[in-house]
Amino acid sequence: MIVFKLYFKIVLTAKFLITVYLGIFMVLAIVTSTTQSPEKIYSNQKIDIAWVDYDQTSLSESLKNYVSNYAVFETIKAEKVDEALFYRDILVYVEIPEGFFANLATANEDTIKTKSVPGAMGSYQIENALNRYLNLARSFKENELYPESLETEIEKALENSTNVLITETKHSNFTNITFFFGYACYIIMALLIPLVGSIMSSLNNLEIKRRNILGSISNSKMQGLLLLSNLALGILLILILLGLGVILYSDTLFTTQGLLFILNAILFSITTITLAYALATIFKSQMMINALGTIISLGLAFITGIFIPQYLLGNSIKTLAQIFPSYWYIKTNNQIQAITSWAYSDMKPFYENLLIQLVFIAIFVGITFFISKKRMRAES
Amino acid sequence: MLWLVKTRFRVLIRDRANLFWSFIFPLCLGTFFFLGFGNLLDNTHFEQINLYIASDYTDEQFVKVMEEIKIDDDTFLFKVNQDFSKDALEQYLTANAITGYLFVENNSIYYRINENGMTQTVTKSVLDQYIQTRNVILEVASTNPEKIESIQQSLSNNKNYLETIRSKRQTSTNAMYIYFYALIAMTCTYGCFWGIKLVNDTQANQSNLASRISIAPTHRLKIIISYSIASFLLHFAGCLITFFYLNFGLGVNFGDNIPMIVLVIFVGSLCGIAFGAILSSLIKIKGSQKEGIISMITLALNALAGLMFPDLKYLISKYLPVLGYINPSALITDALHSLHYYEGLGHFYFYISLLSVLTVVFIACAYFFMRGSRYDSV
Repeated sequence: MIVFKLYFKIVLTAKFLITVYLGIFMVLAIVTSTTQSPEKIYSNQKIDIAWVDYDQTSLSESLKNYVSNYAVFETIKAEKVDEALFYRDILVYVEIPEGFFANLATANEDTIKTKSVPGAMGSYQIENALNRYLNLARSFKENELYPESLETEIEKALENSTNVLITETKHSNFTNITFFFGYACYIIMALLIPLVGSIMSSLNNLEIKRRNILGSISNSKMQGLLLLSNLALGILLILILLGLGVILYSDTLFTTQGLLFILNAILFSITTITLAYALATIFKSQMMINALGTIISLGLAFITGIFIPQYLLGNSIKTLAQIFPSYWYIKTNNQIQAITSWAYSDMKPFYENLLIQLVFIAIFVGITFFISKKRMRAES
Repeated sequence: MLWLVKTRFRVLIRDRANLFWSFIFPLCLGTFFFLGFGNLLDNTHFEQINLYIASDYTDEQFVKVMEEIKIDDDTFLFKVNQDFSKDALEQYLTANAITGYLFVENNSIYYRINENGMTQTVTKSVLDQYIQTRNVILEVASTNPEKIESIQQSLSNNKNYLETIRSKRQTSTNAMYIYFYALIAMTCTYGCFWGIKLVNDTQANQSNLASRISIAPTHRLKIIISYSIASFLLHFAGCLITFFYLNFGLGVNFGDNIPMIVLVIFVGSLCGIAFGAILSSLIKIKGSQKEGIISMITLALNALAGLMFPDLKYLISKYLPVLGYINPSALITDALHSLHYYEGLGHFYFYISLLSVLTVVFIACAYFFMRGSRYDSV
């Protein structure tokens, strides 16, 4: 008990660090926890756009109504439009000039002013919808093919659509919980490496080590208790993260996939603890361990797919990332999200990834064991 | 005075921890950013859509139309593939290997998909357009046969009614750049570590060294100014190295206005050091715990400035702009962003002015906390 007490006393000295990291994590988790309903029927994927109509005619209203099939209209102040486009809060800004529809199909035809995010499929979709409506309007107007009103004729023509057949096997949406557990990987590394590293490094100090050897607790018992304390810290961290997960994603957390996410996170915590052990054995300076903890956690967050999805990483970076455990953790996370069948053949890549993480644990434990043996010999 | 600056400089370059945070860490992080985001900085590339059409349920004319649809002069919207039968495509769809496929049966087009998504929406929308155009022609042929030719001509004359009013500069940037602006901001605000050292070495109640310095005959203001100059020169050099490494080494485009960027870094470095000095004076704990607390405050400010998640910065500027105006990291990020993103300098002047005011306030407060104090016991 005395070892546990000592261990968590040292942990509590870093309460500020723990609070800030968990605070940042909580904010991000809440920001991204927008719920998405499971899909049963086909629906268009809508994007956010800003719409300014200086024309104010029944046709411009009809156009807006048609575009609403593909867009959600956001209210953005004129001076904030550029910022909204930069951050992709909206993908398109549409401005219909005054008298636009009155001049359509005449010599004085005007254009609709747009600002859009280039390369985005959603932008293309909106631009295509606008041009489609306007070309139909022009064609009907040029040929005077509107016995009633022009907008009624266009709307009638636009009613025809493709038959969409959606497959019946649907699964819950794990997008948000995947992000949650993906980002948890960063928090686990950012907290566990400096914490475990610093504690182990301070206990590895020769003077303290000698004093501990003289104490009533045997060295092997001490090491065993420290190992248990480290594991307890890892589990405690996972429990805190899960506490937040229960509040935000109770619908997806209590599923088989949810359990696999947790299992993956526990395994990764153990990998991180063994890594911190190895670092504390290799480096004596606490400053060095803290610096390495920050560099490793942030660096791996960027190159192994925590902050940027793995599919967006360049091929060479992806190859490099494979030598780090967090790459396999994130890969496993993504696989859990995409599970559609529990057959062994489908689950095989998942088991392989878990196995790779176990190999990392063995490597880190091996390094620690080898170096500490060598050091013990030198110290004695 | 010059001698004091020189001596202090020699002391500072032996501080390995601070040198690491000012010089090494930003370079490492910048490299990681570049490795991660390097290929995302150019967002003008459109991903073509793979369109699978069942080889045993197809229509030649329809396939031809799909193959010819263009996004712009050079890029086709679809990569049409007709290599597989309907049964094979169904299997691929079930295994989630493709997002959907098409088949034509009894003159009707069917689009089979697993789930809703942007690719599916765009594809369906184009298919709708094909069906709608065909139906309009059929409708006119039955109701107004005399107009069939002219409507066909009108419909085939596809005009572009859209005019983009967004500048080239704006379309060539995206939110990924925020990571690099925030990195410069982080480097500047890491000046707080030099600020902590400044206070630790000049406040008699903070260290033995400071106690000795406090009883020296040199005027206190002279010591504070010379120590601050040495800290600033070293930190400013670290920030400039980071910027030049990102800009010229990695090729991250910060815009052409280098003098103004250097000005932002200059003010940002001063701000960072003064900020550290204030916090160090206010937080009465000694040793590494104080550094830990200040480092966490700085990390939180940088996170709010978009260092970890650019959208967080946007959400703050949208819903709680005041928080962005009092956060030095956010102001540095915004100043750099406005230099690169906007044509004029209006936005830039706004942010650099706020940052300058904040810096002056920090320096004034730092001096207020650090000026001569008397102690009954230290």
